[in-house]
Amino acid sequence: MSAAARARRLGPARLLAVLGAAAVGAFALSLAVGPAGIGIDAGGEARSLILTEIRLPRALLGALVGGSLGLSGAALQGYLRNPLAEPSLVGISGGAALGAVLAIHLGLSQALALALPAGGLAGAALAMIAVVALAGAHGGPLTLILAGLAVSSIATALIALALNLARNPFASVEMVFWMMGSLADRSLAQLWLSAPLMLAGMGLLLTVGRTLDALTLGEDAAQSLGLDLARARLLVVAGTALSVGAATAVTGIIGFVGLIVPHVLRPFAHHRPGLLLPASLLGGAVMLLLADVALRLLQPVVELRIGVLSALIGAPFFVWLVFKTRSELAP
Amino acid sequence: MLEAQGLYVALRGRPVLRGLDFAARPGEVTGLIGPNGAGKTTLLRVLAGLLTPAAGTVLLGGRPMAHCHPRERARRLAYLPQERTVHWALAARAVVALGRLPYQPLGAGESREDARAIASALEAMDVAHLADRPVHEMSGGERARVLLARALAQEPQALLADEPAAGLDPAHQLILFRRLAALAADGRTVVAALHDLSLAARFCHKVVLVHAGRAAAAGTPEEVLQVEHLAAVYGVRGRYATLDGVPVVLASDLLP
Amino acid sequence: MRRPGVGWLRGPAAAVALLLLAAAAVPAAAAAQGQARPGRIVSLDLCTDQLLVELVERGRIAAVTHLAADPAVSAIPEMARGISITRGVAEDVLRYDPDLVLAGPFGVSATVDLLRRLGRNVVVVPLPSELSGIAAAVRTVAAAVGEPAKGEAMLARFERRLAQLGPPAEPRPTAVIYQIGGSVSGPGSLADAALAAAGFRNMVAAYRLTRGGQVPLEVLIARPPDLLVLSSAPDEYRTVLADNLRHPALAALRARRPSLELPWRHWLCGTPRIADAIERLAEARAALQAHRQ
Repeated sequence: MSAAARARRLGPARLLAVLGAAAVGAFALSLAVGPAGIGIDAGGEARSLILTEIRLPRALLGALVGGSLGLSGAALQGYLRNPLAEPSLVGISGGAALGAVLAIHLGLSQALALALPAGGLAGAALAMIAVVALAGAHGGPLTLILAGLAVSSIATALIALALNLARNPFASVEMVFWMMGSLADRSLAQLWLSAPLMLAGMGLLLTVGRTLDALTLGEDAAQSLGLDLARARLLVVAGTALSVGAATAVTGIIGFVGLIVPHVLRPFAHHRPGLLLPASLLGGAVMLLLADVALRLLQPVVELRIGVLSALIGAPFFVWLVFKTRSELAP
Repeated sequence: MLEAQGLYVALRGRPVLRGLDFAARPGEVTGLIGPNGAGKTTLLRVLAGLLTPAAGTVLLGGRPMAHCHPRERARRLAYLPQERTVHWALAARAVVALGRLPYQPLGAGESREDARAIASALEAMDVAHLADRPVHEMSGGERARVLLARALAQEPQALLADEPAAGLDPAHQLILFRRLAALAADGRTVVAALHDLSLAARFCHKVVLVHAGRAAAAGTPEEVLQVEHLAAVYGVRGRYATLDGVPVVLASDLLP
Repeated sequence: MRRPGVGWLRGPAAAVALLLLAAAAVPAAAAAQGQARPGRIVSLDLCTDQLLVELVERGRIAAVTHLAADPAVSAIPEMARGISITRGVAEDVLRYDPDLVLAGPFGVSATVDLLRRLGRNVVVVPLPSELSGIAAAVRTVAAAVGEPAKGEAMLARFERRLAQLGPPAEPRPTAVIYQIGGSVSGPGSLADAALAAAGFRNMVAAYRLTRGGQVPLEVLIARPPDLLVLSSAPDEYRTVLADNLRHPALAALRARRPSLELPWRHWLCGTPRIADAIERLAEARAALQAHRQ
């Protein structure tokens, strides 16, 4: 039996243990790597300042945001029975960014710090509702992607408008932050603000595993197995809005993590949507942490944003996925 | 064991069931027949508790369905929808295991009870040798058997199947309906909606003819599948006959 | 540090030279431009705005950019208040019927081309990245607006202010100008020139920067400069890009080491007003060196 086939024989507990170990390793690596390579190029007080105030928030944020994106991608794919679903493709990240931009530029986050992730949350929720309204409850995969495209286009345009109207001299550079994302120079304060919301969202999403498994057979069969579909829908919307909303408010839009991670892990999770949830949470954390490490190692050669890196990997992957499932995608 | 009285259901503003009465007894296969759009699927969904009627009641074992908690209901009644899509490439055993969900509390894995029920369901439908095969790689007949095994894994007292043999080859049609008949013989209540009138005549103890949202006729196949009913409901000239000891319903021509 | 080259124009020799120059310049200028003192001048760039407003009386200025009266970026906002504003598109500029248009080298090249094709006199003023370039910029503008004497006087004052600073003591301390988004005073920029003129060594060279001119906060904390210069207050701009200015690690650094707030308006443009910035920086440098002894 080949190594790949043997890997697919991993039981659920083993799979999660392996991914968990990978996440811990990636976290440690993220703490160890800085702009000057491995290690900290300072001593004494500066060293501990760098470790606790700069590297630790960055690593924790990478893990939480990566986990949120991976998990919400898996949840959306399972709930919508659509392998192309993903928070940024479906317009949810765009809505979250718009909510965060409004919270900042209307001065709300100056008055109350919590207004920032709350704005992201509200924006994400509204985007989800808009997409479902546009695509219809039973829209096919392509219809959903089109609706997501419409919603993210509107969100992007409104973000640009908001930045312009705010007479922001940094409008164009700030636009790049929101569209391409960044984990750099985020502080512990922002982490404390967004982490509880991300954890709450992830917690909600992890409870819908059984319903997602049952939905493999379609809505009627799932309902007949005694599962509450309305409650599941609420949990998916709330969980995604909380986790993706809070994450995007602090880091900007980071795309494709929620597309790639569930797809890569699906065979290892035996194609079971329920098991794919915790697997994608851990896998997403690993992917984002490693991408962030790569970013810092590449810094002397080329200056990249995290969203650019994820798009460079994710966009070709998306195209390949579309081709692969082309026959099944007739709307 | 499964009864309904005076069901009124409207979908998207159009009335689909208009005051329909229905009864099915344990130990029998009850067939639901009728033209396309007559309301067979809607009736099954109401009987399965998936749809709440605007008026009328459904009784499961004498108790109103509305008072039954969904998980409790799922342990007593299994529903096999017409749609046979399995959205992800699960292996047969994983599909059948879904039938145990009503018995598993949140967060619990598979118990020994569950494993036993799954194994016996696979055996009963003769798909045990396909347990590790992804469902997508199976033929239509094998997949239909796996999906029925899922319903069996629920260990239900009542089984509702919507066109379980549609699109299957003659051998698999016989296999499936023989199994349904055996399940009924074990004491279960089996209700199946179907189009094939000969299969209905052969395997159903009782047949209910649904037309324009009402039960136009109910009784044994021989009683219901009469020339007059076939003409009035289907608009065809047909008759009930016996060939090689097996009942057959032949529709010979359209009526003007 | 190189001084702008007006030092030798002193005394009687200067007066004679100036007269001869003036005598030669007027007919030459008139022949070249058709008029020595344009009366409807439009400026399309913040830096040319500032030079224009200081060299020419209001009556001859038709329009400047909206930035000239913005106290955040302009060194002479009160002088520019009340002057008409142009947004810089050719059609808007034409409504003032200018006989001279001053433009900077960036951002408006399409407009400049169009205006030239329509027969307008457009003078593009180079953006100096060294102090020596300031003289060229001032002279270009002064000549174009027909006030060469005022231009020389402005440069002379600038020279005097720089001369008063005196040579810096060794060893020179290090400094970095740290801005929103982590941008810093890269080598070869005007900010770099200002630091050097004030007697600092620009720490940015030691950080081995990548393209993009930004320094990660971690690098700043690991090897802090002797003086940290900040160009805006943390809450001055509502943008997520200013998060680095609000970062607790930066606050910790500021608590332990000297820092100076030096708003943009002092050093954004290559005009003699940059002497304001250089003087403040030099003060800070002297204080640092005194503290060391």
